[in-house]
Amino acid sequence: MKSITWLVLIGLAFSSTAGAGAEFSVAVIVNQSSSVRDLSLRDLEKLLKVEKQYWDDGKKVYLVLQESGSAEKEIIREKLLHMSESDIKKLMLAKLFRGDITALPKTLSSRASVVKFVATIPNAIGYVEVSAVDPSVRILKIDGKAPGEPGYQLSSASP
Amino acid sequence: MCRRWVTLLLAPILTLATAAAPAVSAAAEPDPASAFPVPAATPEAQTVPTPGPPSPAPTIDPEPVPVSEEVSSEHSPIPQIKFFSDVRATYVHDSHSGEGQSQFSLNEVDTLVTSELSDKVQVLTEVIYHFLEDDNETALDIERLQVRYTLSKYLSLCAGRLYIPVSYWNYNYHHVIWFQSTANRPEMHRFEDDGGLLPTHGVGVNAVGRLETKAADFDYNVLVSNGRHTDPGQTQIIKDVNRSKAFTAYLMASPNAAPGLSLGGSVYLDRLPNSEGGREMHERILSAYLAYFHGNVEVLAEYNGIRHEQPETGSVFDTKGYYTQFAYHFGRWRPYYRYDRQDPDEHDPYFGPREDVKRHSVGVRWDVLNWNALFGEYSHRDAGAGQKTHEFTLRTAFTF
Repeated sequence: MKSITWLVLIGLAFSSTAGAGAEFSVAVIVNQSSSVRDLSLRDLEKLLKVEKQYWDDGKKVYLVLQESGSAEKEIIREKLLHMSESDIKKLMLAKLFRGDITALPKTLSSRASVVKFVATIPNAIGYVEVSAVDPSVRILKIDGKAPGEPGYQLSSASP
Repeated sequence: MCRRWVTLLLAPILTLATAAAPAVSAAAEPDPASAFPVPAATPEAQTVPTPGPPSPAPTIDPEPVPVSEEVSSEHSPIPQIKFFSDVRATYVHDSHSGEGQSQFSLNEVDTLVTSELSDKVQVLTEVIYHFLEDDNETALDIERLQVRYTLSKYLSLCAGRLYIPVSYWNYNYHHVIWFQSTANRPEMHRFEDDGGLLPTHGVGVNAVGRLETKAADFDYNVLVSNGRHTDPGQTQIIKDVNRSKAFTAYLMASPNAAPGLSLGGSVYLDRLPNSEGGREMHERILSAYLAYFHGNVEVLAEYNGIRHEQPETGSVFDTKGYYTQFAYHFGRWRPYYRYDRQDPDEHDPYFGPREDVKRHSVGVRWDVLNWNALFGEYSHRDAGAGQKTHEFTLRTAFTF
């Protein structure tokens, strides 16, 4: 019985070590034609809550989201929005209801779709796991940090 | 003064409408918003589907279609439709008589339809289907019908039947229980036709916009509307019985240093039509609110003060109402407490006799699904003169 307990403990220790090593970073991407290079975390929060609907140059923002349950969305929800999934839905519908927005943000199911959308639409912004990014889009720095740099907030390793 | 406001607001709308006309027909220029069109009446195609089995079916978006394939020479508006409704069971026990009454109630069905006519012109309508208390007949109310012209990130103009932004509660939740954290509305924020004291609907034009600064973001709303009817329970939809227009200015500030916090207030000015032909009373409504929704914490507090002044006699009638509400999220559970108060001036000739109410409410909201919430609430209502009731409410609110 003792040996089984030890085996379980060793297994758990290995799995937690492996999990800790697999850092997962979310890259915020925009169209290559965008003049935006850096966003503050607060501005990103406003963009994703559709509070900020225009870029600083006055152009309308086209926001593309990922479906619930995606690893990216979980990071965004926990590290940035601090909201439950149902509260995010309520927020978006409330904005539509008040007339603050005229359409709900576009939601796509795959990382490739998000990248393709952002690459196609000049004023679009979206987010995907960093390894899914290709040269058709540009990764934004968040609070001056790029994905993978120490202190980058949208990462599973960030506090 | 008000005429000048109407002229000032109408002129740009008409100008923009003329300018926007070619934009609608000349959709040969790609509209990014329509590059991935959303099927009508299937909002889940846009929102994030829920993993849970009973929630609306997840929609798998097709691979993006190149913009060029979506460009059509005939841009046809595609409406989005959303429904909201709820069912409740209540038990009210009258402390004075010792009697109780239980009942089931079907609430209204709120239908929201929005559509983009172009990138800068949008329409929105909200239609309520409900049952009349007296004979159970079905009735239909057009709560809102508005066309919005977006001029820039700072300014949009709307015309039609709109919300009057004198109440944070009504402006944000209106008829939709599912948006609320609580099972019932504060006393002061009932609708006009349900004995409410605040004007919540108006036909007119407004200017809305947002100004972003480093310190805070500011949202504003300036509205000129028909104003109050001789009957406080009615809205002047087709015509205005007096010459004056109601003026509302609303400002909300969201400090960047405190995410989730917003502070705001409004002022409403009107002249109340006098059905007996005498001089019209002046009405002024001042409102202020504080809202904090961040992480698991919710705090909401609001004050509304209505002043009626009779110019002949100099008499002043003050009615006020306020509430404070706290809630905390434990996962999908959200227990809450609210104190609300309605303190009317019993001599106000416009309102007539109204209840002086103090109410404590405790309850919990449980988000069973992302699109369905259950509420359980107990409330102690004291309407003065020994009229005390214990009220229990169970409610299920949903959207689809």
